[in-house]
Amino acid sequence: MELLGDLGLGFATALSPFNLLYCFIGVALGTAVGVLPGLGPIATIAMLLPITFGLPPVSSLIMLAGIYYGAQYGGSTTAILINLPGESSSVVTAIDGYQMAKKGRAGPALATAALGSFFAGTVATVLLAIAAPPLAEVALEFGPAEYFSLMVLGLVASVALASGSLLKAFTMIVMGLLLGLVGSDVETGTQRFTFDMPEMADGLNFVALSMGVFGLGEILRNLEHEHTRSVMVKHVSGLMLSKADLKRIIGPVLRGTSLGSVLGILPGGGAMLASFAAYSMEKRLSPNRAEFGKGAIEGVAAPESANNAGAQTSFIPMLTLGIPSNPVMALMIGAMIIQGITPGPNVVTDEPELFWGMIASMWVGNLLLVLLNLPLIGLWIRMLTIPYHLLFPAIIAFCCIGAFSVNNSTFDVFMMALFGLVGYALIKLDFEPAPLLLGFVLGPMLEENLRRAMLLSRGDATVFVTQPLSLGLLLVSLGLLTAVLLPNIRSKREEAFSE
Amino acid sequence: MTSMQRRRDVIGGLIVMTIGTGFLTVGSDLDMGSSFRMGPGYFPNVLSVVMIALGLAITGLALRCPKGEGGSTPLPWRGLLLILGAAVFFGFAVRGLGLAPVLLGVVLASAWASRYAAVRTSVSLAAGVAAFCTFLFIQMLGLPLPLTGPWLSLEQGSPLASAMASVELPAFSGPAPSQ
Repeated sequence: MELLGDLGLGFATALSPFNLLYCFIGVALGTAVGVLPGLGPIATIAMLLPITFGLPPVSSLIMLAGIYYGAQYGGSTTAILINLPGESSSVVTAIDGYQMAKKGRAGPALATAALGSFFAGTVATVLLAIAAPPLAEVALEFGPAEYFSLMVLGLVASVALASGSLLKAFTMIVMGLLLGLVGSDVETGTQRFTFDMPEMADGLNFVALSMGVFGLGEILRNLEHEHTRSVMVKHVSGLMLSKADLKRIIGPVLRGTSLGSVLGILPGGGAMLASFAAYSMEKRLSPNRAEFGKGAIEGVAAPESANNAGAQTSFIPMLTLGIPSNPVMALMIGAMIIQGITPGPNVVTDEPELFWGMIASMWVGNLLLVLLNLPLIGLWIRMLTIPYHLLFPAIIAFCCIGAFSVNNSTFDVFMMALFGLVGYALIKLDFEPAPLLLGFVLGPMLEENLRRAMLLSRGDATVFVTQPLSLGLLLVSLGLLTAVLLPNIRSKREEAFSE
Repeated sequence: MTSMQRRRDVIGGLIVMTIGTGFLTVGSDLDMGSSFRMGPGYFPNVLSVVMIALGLAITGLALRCPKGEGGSTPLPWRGLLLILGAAVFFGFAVRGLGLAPVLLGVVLASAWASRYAAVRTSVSLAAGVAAFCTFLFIQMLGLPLPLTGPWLSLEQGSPLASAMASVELPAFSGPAPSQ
């Protein structure tokens, strides 16, 4: 019953006119980001971070969260209508969704994506409400050794589940950790890697770093293969699903939702992995598997439910443990820190309004998204064709102002330009930049817990393996690492990501 | 692994090693402390060493692969210069020129990084972005930046006023206007 009371508080917060407005802005922006070419949720959230400083923490986090799961909806629209995934998480939706659109069934495909996502979002919201508080309670008992091991697990898992070279992903994490240590040392106040510049004393600016790497770096990459888009389907009709369609999607939606919910919790997982896994599972299980690749409605229902469920459950480790499972969550943690909230298990008890308000807002946001996406589909179709060359100069202008406005300092703008160059170099050298952001956020926390754990154990490093919980977490990390390195799983993993 | 990937990884690993060495060098005068009471230098130095090792591994693995054929893709210098240059220009000039003119410059410059750039669309895009951003950030959000900055002011002593004064100087040496 306590849950109902908490959820009541959450809905009271989420439904206050002010927060409802920001929820709406968030999901509308998210859909737009998913639909517009070359603009992803990471860059958008980074750009909007400075604007949210003036807002109350609840409203700003509600809006930023809305951008993330809203982008899942918008991304599927692009995938279905023009065969270009708006987001990495809707890559597989494009396979069957576009085939459906080609056969004149764009309406049912869009409706399936939206309704499947809504159902998944509802389930994931309930799951988040039930699972998060007990998890936070467990985490409250964690000492520094357990926390250190937990973060190691988070980082290892994010490497193991990411695409591309393991070695390079590790390099990105270590580089992120090192960059995170720049600034004054928390314990002694010693200046580290600041080159005596006062602007660097508080560390590298999080907003400048993420906007540089994910905003400018991304633009430079996109400009290499610039092309114009054309929409084949100008008018979408028949948004209602027939009874036969409904019958076919129930199973895939349920399976996609459960798989997505589980994969979303895992570090490094989130929406993308969930949609890939759900699609390949459905391809094996479905009685209509012969239709896959030729416009099977199951091929839209399963990954779309899974990516939305995954997007939502990836908030669980962020809200309860203060550990980001993907770059978007790293940005959310950054947003919290900037707002003066210490991320971690204390959020549930210290900031109930924020915690429950965010959870409730996700359900409200999903409902808004269905209303926003189905009847207004014509608006988004028109947005689809906005050419990239009209978009990116505006993004650059926004990034410059955003970087400047954090501290009203031009130093941060130069920093952003530098990290834009770094981000582009990383892409060119085939280093996936996402783990860098995770490392950057976790760097200071990891060091602090390491030092505290060593101090408490009087310099005895075995503390990490003698504490049962810590040992368990490290063993899981080790298991994950060996699993990924095993030859046959390794080839499967490469296969899964190349599909 | 193709020749391009091989070269890319060799270079990538070398860069990683350089960064690791850089952190190690700069961090070498930080106090290491002991494993019991770690100083500010302990964790960074450990990480730097790990970084160098990772760089070695990346380069090493790439070098083990046989050399293949194939060229490299040229760097998009125009895009790099225009876009990063636009950001740097913003940093240098925003206080002096003010937000509106600097945004015009940023959008106009970066728009030319695209192969689809055209004069008319770029100019109207720049005007639109400048108008929208100055309204949003200065009017609505109260960003402490001037609309147009001191470099553009005509008051006595400002750079533009003195520049104009020196240009207009010959006019004063002419015959005085008759009354």
